[in-house]
Amino acid sequence: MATSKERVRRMLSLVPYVVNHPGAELKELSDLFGAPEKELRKDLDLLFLTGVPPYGPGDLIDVEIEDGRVWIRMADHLDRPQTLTLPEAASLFVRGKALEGTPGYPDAPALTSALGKIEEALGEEALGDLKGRVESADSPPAGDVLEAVWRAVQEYEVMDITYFAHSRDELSQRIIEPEKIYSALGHWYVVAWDEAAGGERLFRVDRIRSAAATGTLFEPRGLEGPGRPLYSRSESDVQVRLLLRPAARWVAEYYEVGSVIDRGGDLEAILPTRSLAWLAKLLVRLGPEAEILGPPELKSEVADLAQRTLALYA
Amino acid sequence: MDQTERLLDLLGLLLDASTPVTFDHIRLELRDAYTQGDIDSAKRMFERDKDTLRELGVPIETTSKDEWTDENNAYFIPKDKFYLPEIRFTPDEISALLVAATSAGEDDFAERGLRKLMYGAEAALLRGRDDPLLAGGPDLSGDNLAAVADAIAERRQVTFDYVTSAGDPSERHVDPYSLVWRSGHYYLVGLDRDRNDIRSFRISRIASDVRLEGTASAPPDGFIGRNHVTGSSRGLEGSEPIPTRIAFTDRVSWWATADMQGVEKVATAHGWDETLVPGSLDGSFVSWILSFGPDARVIEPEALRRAVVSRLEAVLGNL
Repeated sequence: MATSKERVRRMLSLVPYVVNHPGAELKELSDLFGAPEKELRKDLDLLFLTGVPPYGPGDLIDVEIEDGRVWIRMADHLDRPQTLTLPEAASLFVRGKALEGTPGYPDAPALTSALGKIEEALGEEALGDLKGRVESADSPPAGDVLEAVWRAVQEYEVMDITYFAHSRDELSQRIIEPEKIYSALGHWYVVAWDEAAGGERLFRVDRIRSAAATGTLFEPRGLEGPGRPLYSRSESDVQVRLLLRPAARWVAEYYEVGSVIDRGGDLEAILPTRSLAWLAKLLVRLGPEAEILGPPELKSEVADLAQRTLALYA
Repeated sequence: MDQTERLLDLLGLLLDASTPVTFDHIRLELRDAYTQGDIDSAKRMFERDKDTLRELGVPIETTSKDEWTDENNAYFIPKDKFYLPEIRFTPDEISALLVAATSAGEDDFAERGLRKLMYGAEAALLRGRDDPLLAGGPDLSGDNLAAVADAIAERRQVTFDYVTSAGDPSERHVDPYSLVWRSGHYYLVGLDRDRNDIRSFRISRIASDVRLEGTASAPPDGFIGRNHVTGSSRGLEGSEPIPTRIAFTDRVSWWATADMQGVEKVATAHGWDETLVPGSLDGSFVSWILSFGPDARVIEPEALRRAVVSRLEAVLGNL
């Protein structure tokens, strides 16, 4: 059971909502206000006993619950919600600005105007110096493919894409069922069922060269959205052991790592990987900032890649 | 009488009153609430209730009711500070706010704010929420982000332990100027008081609680936070870019420079796209070119070619 404080907090936004939505369903209220129906019923029973002075029958809030629906009357002093506190306004704002500033988010204009209205209505008091101090520094991405993917995700439409798979270092054509889209570390990803691979795959949208709608709709499978690791491990993964100097420590933050040991400023990290090709590229890029501890095949892969690249300058 | 019931009645009384009311008046009106025979313990209970309402953000103010005394013995709630001002949202705006509040998973403050804003919205708009759209982790939720936002809003100094990307820990004292969202992370940008320089700090690299201290300085005129978020993957911040000519194979050239400004494709021959790219001689620009392996080749300047070649030779020498 929630504390008195939490219950009062909940009622201060629940009462205005029900006053403005006569006959709202308890189940819906439970979803919206994040509390079990049973608790809401107790709150409403209690609300029925309260009101304004002199607390006579005509001064008490009138609550009616019938067939799982709720009516609240005689709550003139609570027919509008309390204004937002600074942490509430700030948190909504900071999240809103992040989404607004994530390039390619299609509903950004509506979000911008909504945040603008809040900023204007709440005034100096609610946001203080935070007004105008939340910025975005991302550059806009190429738009057509992202737009096509968004539409396909909304409509559950099968897509025919040409994709550059970084891990395999190859361009290929695939038929996918795009189910979820989200942004992580500055890139949009789409979670999709890959028909030919017979499994779910994660595609980085800016690596999709072309995307064509097929006109065929699919049944969503409930694939997991954000929060999933950007890399899905498998039993056949090669465990690569690297020693990362300080300037290369970001590798252990950015990629999915198995384990990390601090060796006096350097990090010894294990990266599980399906293919050595992309890791060889990473190591050529890191240069002297990383040392390969194993497996030995990775060394020959890196040597081969470096020689092929060097040959361009011969 | 149950505390919840007492709080609601007290709130009702204060919102209903047209003039400030004294505790004696409140005690009289709320017959079943502060019934202790001992006036002091009744008053203490009232004080606790008043504090609880204040913690909920209810602005209970005090004034002197009696012209013969200076004691602030009467209480009132300024209605304009208590109630949410009327905001007319379009259906699209409400949907966008709903997505924003839940954009990175659960966050109590954002959701509480949203619950207040949605009181007049069409119920149908609030159903069937989408999945979160941002994987932000500790950069988009949690106490430290909230504390930093608070500190900027109230212009307060902050102190915290910070670990740089190279793994160096130290305590920082910062006048916070702005929050900058970049590549899925929020950065605090502000004056590092010990270094007397503007620095940026990724929220998820803060290794302690963020403590709010005294009054902070205001940002200089024309301050733009994003100009101070350093460490681009191509090492282009903080220095004037130099023109470079790079050839990419056509299997990577379409995405290699897709998010870059000032890029120009000047020639295509034998499967290679020659491209003008704003670059530098910096090590991180060399790293960026090498991340394409044999799919990218520097044409000019010569100094950049040499830097790439010597990096490759070093890689081979280290194996």
